[in-house]
Amino acid sequence: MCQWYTSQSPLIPSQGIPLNLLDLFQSYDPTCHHLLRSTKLFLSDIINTDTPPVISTHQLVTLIGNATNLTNTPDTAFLIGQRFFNSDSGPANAVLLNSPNLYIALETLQRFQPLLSPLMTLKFFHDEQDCFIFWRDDSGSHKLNTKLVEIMTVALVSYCKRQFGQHPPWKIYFNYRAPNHLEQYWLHIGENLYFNTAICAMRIPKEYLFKQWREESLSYTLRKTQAEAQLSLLPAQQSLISRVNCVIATGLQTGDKRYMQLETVAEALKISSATLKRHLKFYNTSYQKLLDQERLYQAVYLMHKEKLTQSAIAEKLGFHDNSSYRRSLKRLTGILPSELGLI
Amino acid sequence: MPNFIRLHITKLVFILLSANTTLLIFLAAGDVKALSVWSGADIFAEGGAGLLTLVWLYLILKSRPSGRITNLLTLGLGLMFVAWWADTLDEFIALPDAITWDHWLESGSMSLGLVLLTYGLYHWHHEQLAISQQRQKQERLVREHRYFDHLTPLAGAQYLKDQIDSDRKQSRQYSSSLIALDLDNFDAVNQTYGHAEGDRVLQAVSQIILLNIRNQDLLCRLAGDRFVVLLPHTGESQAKIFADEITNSLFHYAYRSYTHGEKISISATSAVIMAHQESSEQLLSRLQLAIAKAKTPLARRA
Repeated sequence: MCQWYTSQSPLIPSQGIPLNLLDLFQSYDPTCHHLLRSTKLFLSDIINTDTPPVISTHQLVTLIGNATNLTNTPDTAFLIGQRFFNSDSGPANAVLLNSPNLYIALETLQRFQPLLSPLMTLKFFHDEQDCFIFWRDDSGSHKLNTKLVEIMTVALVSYCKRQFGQHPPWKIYFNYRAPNHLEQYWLHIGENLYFNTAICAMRIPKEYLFKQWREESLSYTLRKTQAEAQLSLLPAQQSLISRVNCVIATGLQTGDKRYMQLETVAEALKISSATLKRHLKFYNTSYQKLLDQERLYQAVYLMHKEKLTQSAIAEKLGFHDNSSYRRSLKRLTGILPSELGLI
Repeated sequence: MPNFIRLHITKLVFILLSANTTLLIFLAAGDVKALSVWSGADIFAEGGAGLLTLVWLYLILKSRPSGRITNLLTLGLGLMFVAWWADTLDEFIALPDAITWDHWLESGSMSLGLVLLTYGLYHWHHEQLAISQQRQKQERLVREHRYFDHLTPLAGAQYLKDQIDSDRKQSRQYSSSLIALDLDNFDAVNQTYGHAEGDRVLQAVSQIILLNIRNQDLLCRLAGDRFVVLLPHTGESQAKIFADEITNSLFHYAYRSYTHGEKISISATSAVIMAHQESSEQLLSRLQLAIAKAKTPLARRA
């Protein structure tokens, strides 16, 4: 079994998320020709056959791109997001919908990430007061990145709203400037929005993590077993990007500076440097970009979770001194280390 | 496309038949010209004009429901097409000099076609005025179809922002008010009855609100289940009365679901603010704060 899948690997059953997307936008495009353009998919294959095609993350990104182009309205991503976890698309989704509390739901999202949110990976941690949740790109689609952030943020917000029966006091951070269609954010995401932050994040008071939604039922256990079985049938359980991120993260956490090098990471993945470079190119990214992103995430983590000082963070992330850390952060996000904390 | 043919089948058959008859008459009366005397420029100009007439005809039929005005426009354009067609046939078929009816066919059908087209356009103009009158509360004086909402017959947020900004530029002492209306528990409707039913509720609600506002007011769907009414030259207290009237009428409205006809209760929360000298973004974010405050249950307001 392979350690990772790429953006071209067949992964997502087309009768799950893709079919829900087609349902949502069929009123715009009854034949689905526009929606399926350059996805190499045919409507008849998806809905008629006993063996529906399994699509790659790359194809799913194309489909979402087609949908946003077709409708050409700012609420497209929000409509997709609202239905993302709240529709019946397989056992993993059933496990998520029947989770006993938010903490287990977040763990479920991580465990069954390729089945539940194949385009983005979820990371979370909590300090004494708050839980911080991050959606990290797993598809290499720069053009649609903002849309994907919108989709997954709305997906989690509306999932939680449904589970809690009310809107919990979220604080949501975006690493881009306030968009023109801010009213959509107000309505679908909430009032406490922060733009131009270092990193996209969602924050919720810690007590909400363990508020009991329901008891763990027997059917929940059954669904979990089914989901595990489905997961084990996938080509791999982690994307190449996630895998590289994990290796870098381990390197940063153990302070092993060899992991700052592409070669070491390629070795850990048991492929040549050239192959790794080529794979990353498919994701429109490079090793340096991934390293930068991982350092940024770790910096936020160390600041909020471990409460480290700026110089301790700089040292831990493998920078020579405070000023090179400062420069690097400024180049990457346009902000200073002192502004890194999420207010 | 099949729908398009079914609606206008008689007219289309009539035009095809007259074109075909003209061709047959020409062939019966005259002789086909030799290739050397064909005039490329004439064929291009006359045939091209005929083709363009067909394109206009297609666009008009495609964009209009069937009816008297559509019939007039079709007949007018159809006759114009026949005239161009006869003119083009002239280039391929030489008629004996003794025959004069071909001039009558060309000029006669062209003039008659133009008269009918003009008559049709005149009535179209009146029809459009009537439609604009009906749409007054949804678009006021500017039409920009790109900003129309795809779900309700209303304009979206961008159109509202443009209208607020242009109003502000026009008058110094600007005294407008805005009402925001947000449906209560709309998520529950979507969850219980499905998103398609939720969409129908939104369409119904937009009609109810339209009935409750004045002719000079503008209703837009801001996002999701949130509507905004722009009330020009209206004070805040007056706007509050309007807002209460709208929420009351929504509360008393008995919406029945599409599939089983159950009653779905609808209620809305409203918030009213008065516009000061500020940009549409600032104004809308103030409105957002107001509606967020109105939506928070009293117990949680500290």
